[in-house]
Amino acid sequence: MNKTLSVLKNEIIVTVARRSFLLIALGVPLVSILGFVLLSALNRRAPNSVAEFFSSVSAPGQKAEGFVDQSGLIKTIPDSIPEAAFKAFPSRAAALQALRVGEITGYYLIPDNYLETGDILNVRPDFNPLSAFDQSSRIQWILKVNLLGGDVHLASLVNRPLVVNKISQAPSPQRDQQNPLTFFLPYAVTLAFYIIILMSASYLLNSVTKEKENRVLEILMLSISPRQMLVGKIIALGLVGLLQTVLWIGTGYSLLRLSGRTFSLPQAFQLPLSFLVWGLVFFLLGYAIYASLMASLGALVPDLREASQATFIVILPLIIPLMMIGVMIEAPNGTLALALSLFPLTASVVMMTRLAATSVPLWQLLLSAGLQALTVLLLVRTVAGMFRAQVLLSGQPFNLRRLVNALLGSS
Amino acid sequence: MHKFWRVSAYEYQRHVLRSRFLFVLLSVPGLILVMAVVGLLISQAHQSDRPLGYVDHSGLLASPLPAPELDSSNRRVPLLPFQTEAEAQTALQSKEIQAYYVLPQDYRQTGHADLVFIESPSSDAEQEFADFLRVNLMSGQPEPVAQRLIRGDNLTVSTPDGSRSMSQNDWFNIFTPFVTGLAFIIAIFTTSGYLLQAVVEEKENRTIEILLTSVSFFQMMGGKIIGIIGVGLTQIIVWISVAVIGVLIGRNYFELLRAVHISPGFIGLMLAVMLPSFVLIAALMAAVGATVTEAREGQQVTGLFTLPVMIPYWFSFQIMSNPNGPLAVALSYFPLTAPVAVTMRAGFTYLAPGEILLSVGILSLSALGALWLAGRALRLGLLSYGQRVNLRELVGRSK
Repeated sequence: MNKTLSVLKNEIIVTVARRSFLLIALGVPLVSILGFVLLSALNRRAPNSVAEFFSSVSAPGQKAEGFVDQSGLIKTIPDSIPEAAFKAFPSRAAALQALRVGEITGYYLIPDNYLETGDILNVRPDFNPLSAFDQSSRIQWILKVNLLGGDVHLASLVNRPLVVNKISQAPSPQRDQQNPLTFFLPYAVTLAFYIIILMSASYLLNSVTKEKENRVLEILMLSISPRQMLVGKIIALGLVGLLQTVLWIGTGYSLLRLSGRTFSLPQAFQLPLSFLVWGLVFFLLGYAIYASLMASLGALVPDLREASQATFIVILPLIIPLMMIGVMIEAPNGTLALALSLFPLTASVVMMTRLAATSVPLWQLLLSAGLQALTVLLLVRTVAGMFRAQVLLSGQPFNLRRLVNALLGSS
Repeated sequence: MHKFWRVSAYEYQRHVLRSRFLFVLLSVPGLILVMAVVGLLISQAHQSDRPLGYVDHSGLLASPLPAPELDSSNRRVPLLPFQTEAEAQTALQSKEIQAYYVLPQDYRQTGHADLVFIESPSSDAEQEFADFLRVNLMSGQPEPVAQRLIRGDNLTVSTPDGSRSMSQNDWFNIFTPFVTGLAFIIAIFTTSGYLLQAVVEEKENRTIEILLTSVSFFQMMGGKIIGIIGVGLTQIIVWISVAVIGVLIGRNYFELLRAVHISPGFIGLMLAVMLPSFVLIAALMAAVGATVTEAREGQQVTGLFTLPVMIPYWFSFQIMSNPNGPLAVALSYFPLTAPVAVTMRAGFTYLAPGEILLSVGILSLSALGALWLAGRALRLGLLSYGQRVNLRELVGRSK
């Protein structure tokens, strides 16, 4: 136990004191704080200048748009459209001329076969399809009203036939499928979890490979057992990962508070305190699983170059849930989500997706955590067994078969 | 010059003629294919075809016209009328229907309706019911008018001279700059890592000292960088060829892919910005590789270069909807963000030749600067073994 503690202490000190760790753990929050201070200073001096810089809307043009109606359909302009917003032109040439002299920002051409084809041509010098598709709703509205003989009420009903009042009979508050948060909240949680677990686990790979390369490992093995070393390293680097996460999230949270924005998520989106607790549990378990796997990589690969390529094989099970995240957010209690949240290698990340998306039955949480804990125990045992001279010194190139054999103890 | 090419040819072959390179090369298209197939299967399996019920108190749907046949691949959901809400509720409880709408008496005046469900119905089902209402709202209208309003418009955007145009049906093309930008980033990630390792490794095992007795610093560094860029370009060319072949084959099956077209101008622009930025990032990586003492340390620092390349993606919404705004313009002049920002902007607006020239010019100058820095870093890093070269030493005057 004593030796595990000294491994733990040494590992924390060495990792935390490394300049690159400080750069990333402190640099990222520092840069964001600096950016925040700079932006708020700028904003104080010239209000709205920052918002304008990041604005997604091009400067609202006071100028009108033109239209050339060859179909003869447009007889009235509905009252909801300001009179100055649209100018009619008799021909394309006239509209083009007005565009050249800057009288209008662009024009629409409604061809004579509009009724059959539905074609509308929008000519604009900045060629911006996205805002063109957005802004064209006004000319489309004018056309709709005129097609329906000027009946604005019918046109608005046809435009939007339903103003729906949704009545959910589900026992728990349901999330609105249209709300972007329904997707982005679980997505952000999953991605953050994925990054944190992988980042912390890769510290272990680095640490093992380094000590293997410079042969310190062999000397260490003389006085401590592989399991003591592995447990010490896993706990130490897990703590370092946690520290880094707390630093980042803490900065993010305080910046949000400073900027005056409080979290006012709709009730269906608020994550309960238990989410934090389960988050910690699943982080620790997921981290321990991937850290042991990374350590096994470290023991098997001949050098760091091979290691970074072999990592891909190990993290593949974590990438799969990311690929299917859309499905799992849509059906967080479906078969796929349930299966992946119980399978130990994907469980930690998928369970967090589900927790952020819906309420998960307690027995599933407990079963998943139990299965992961069991996996951790097994993995630590097996991986510790891999720290033997013949494995460490073989210098053979790494491949999947060797990893599986080593994990099964048959190498 | 001969030695220069020899270094680059060696560096190129070392990576390309490996089975692992083939794996990386094929894994990206393979992964995309698997994702597409899985996504397709899942979306097929996920669609519920349980009917959608409705209770109509407004009289609009007394003798309804059927919902319009639209040319979409989505499965149709049957629509079931109920006389009373109690009946609909029983059907909902027994899971015969996925949800039901209640249209009140004054529906025609207000457009308001209730939707009752246990689990939210799919958006396709909601869309279908809206279309069904639309058809019936227009039942008194002439056929061509009703058809037009149901089918909607087809907007085409064009520049005044007609040199660029995009139809609403071709919206798929919006993704071209994203996909090419992504391929570029993946290629940078995979190949620059090689460069960093190539330098650090030879430094670690002291081969570099022996090598430098017969080649110059410039030949060594330049050769390595050109070789690695060749590796990256090989990757991109293979991926793009696979994508082109995929689109050509897919055209026969998916209408969506028929609209995909890439102009030669866009390809030219891509090459013009991506080549110098490739050199820039590769040289910066090499410089880092030469200054650090261990490969591990180098890997962590490279994040600082690769992260800015992705910045335009974080702001893609702003760049797309306001491609001539200050943020988009600033990003397309900053060397590390330029390649992705310029291609993205080019997809969404008309870029003046002057703007492109300025951006490419800044990129090329920075690439040259980075090459100089890399050569210098190698020389300094070589002399001061086992310790890092700090920034002041790197850019300061040589003693």
